[in-house]
Amino acid sequence: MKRSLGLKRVAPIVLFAFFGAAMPASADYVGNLNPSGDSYLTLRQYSSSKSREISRMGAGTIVEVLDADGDWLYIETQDGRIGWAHSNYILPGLPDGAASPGGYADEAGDVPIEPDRQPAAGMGELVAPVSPAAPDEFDWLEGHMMQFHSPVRDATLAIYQNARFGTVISYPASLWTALPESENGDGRRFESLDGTAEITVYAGHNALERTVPELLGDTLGSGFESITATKMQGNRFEVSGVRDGRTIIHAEILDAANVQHVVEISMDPSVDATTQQSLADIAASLRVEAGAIGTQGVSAPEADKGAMELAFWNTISTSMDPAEFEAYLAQWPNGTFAALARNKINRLRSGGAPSPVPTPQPQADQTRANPTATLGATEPQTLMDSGWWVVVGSFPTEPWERQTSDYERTQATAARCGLAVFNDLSAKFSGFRSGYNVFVIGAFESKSVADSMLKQARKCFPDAYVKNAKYLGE
Amino acid sequence: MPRSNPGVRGLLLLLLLFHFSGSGAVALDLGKSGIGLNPPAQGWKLEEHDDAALKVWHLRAETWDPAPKESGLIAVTVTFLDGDPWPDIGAMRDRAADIVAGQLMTAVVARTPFELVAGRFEIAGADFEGGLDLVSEGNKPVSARLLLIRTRSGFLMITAFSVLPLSEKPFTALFGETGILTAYGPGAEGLNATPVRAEATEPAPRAADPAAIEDLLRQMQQQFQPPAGTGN
Repeated sequence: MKRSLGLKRVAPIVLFAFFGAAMPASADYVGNLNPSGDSYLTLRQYSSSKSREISRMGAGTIVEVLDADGDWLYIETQDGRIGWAHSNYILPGLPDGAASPGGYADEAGDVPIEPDRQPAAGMGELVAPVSPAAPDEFDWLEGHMMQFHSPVRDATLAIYQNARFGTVISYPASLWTALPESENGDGRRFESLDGTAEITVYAGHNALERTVPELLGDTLGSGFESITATKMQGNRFEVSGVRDGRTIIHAEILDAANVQHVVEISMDPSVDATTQQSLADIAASLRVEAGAIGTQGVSAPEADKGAMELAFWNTISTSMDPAEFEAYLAQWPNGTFAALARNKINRLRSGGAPSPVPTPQPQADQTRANPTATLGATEPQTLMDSGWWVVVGSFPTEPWERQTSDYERTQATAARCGLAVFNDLSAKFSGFRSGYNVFVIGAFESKSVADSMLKQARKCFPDAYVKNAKYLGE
Repeated sequence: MPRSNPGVRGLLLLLLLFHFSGSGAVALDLGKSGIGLNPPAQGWKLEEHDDAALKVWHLRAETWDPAPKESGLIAVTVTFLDGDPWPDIGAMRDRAADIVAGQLMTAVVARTPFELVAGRFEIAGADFEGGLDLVSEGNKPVSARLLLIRTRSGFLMITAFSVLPLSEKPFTALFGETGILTAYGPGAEGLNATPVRAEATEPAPRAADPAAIEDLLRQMQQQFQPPAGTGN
């Protein structure tokens, strides 16, 4: 397209002639260009050499720096174009001879890139190359074509595959920005271009040897305010609901190598149904590089059993009748949702808030799930009322309003990490100072077992510690 | 005899006009480039994107199997840039062709570049034969055409994909009077006729200079003969 030396270009010259003295003292200019290379600096849409070119600025172009991002500066030229340019070529002050209009005026905007060339006279003439392209002249092409010209851009989407664990998702590249891989290489995040959603993909070893139903239970107990759907089949499950006011879709696979592959999508509740479907498709696309998925992680009968338990739980989870949760416990006393069921019963029996602390039953063997089962201990340890406790939380009981949130937060974290935590007032323990609401695991007869549990607990409760005490009960 | 309200008659007339106005597709002039876009009224999904300096129309056939009637075209994308800072259209074509062959397509077995000037249009393009990675459905054989068109008022980059192989004239419906794109003004005959019409079995439209067109067609046909060993 012809780039005429029109008003747009002349105006800054004229303006400078009149208002040159008013030039900001902090003005910068384009300089330091490679004398044997390009005679211009590219103004780009984003702070990347691969970003689309907005225009080119010749040496001496005066700019104002508006912002910075690493080696890139967000600048505005005198004729109002705004974009990013590499800081190596933006020098402080004014160029030599700036006082003279001739010194910079012609570069106040663009380098004259190319005169309007008339097409060759006759149809059918082949076009000879005009001039060699600058090396980075077309860097923007790749991003642009991948974003807009892919015939399958919304069909098969872009593929992200984690090199370390083989976790794979498909996503529409045109709508998402991929952030860098995590430092340990276990996954990465993606942000939607409109900022309404984000995807987190990661994987990790199933150190606690959780089964798929247990992992599902952990997810359900991870702070969801409401659950809209759950689905479990074989080695994978999906949960959708609301957490912290955002709509969440969580999908997870436990592969044959006992690795958990997770994709979690968080979105504004305001996103439309079409976008939600698109995000659900991304969650559904979670898979593991071929060959990694097996059935060793969970046996089919176990999965069926889990599905039955889940179905039962789904039917009662919102119930206000404690008898239903007791029925659940009767059938699955050590089930995935056992701790949640007990908590629910306690809360329902106590009439709910404002009763500050759910009242635990003091009989350890009735109310405290054996936490060593989650440690993979060869011999389950007998829980005792006296011995070594792992204290994962200890909060002042005053003001009482905070107790409910302390309780819910701690139990949610515990559930997410597969820990069965017992809660009561510290005054009911000998060995604890009174005035606290404590969350404990135990008690264990030996300190070494408690230390082993502590190691696990600190993954979720970094401040957890071991203490010897005796539970006195009511 | 009851008399109808003139306003109602006018409305009916408008409805009739609308009804018989053809496919119902809305033609879009791409700036003053001399090229218009005619999204098919049915069977295609159109997405648009624009920012300060470019506008993109991405048309994708709703069904790839069976292929749409438009010569097997399944996707057409047009980028219209309001600037033209790229002096070497051939170099730009080569870079874009690398991206088509290396990233948009898979298993490219043929890549044939071409260049021509027709009136106001300066064109550099390339044809490809290869596949698309549909992941779940494997590799789907397709052909593709890349066109970079410098006009007197704007710069276009066009990619088109078809499920037909190059031997079956997969891009006959890309340009032309009834094509997805139509060129107007000086040079339009060349663009509408070639390379599309060069491959078409239909008679070429009337041209201002038949001899020049014939010469162009001959050159284009030569261009489209892949040299031995052409590949990616």
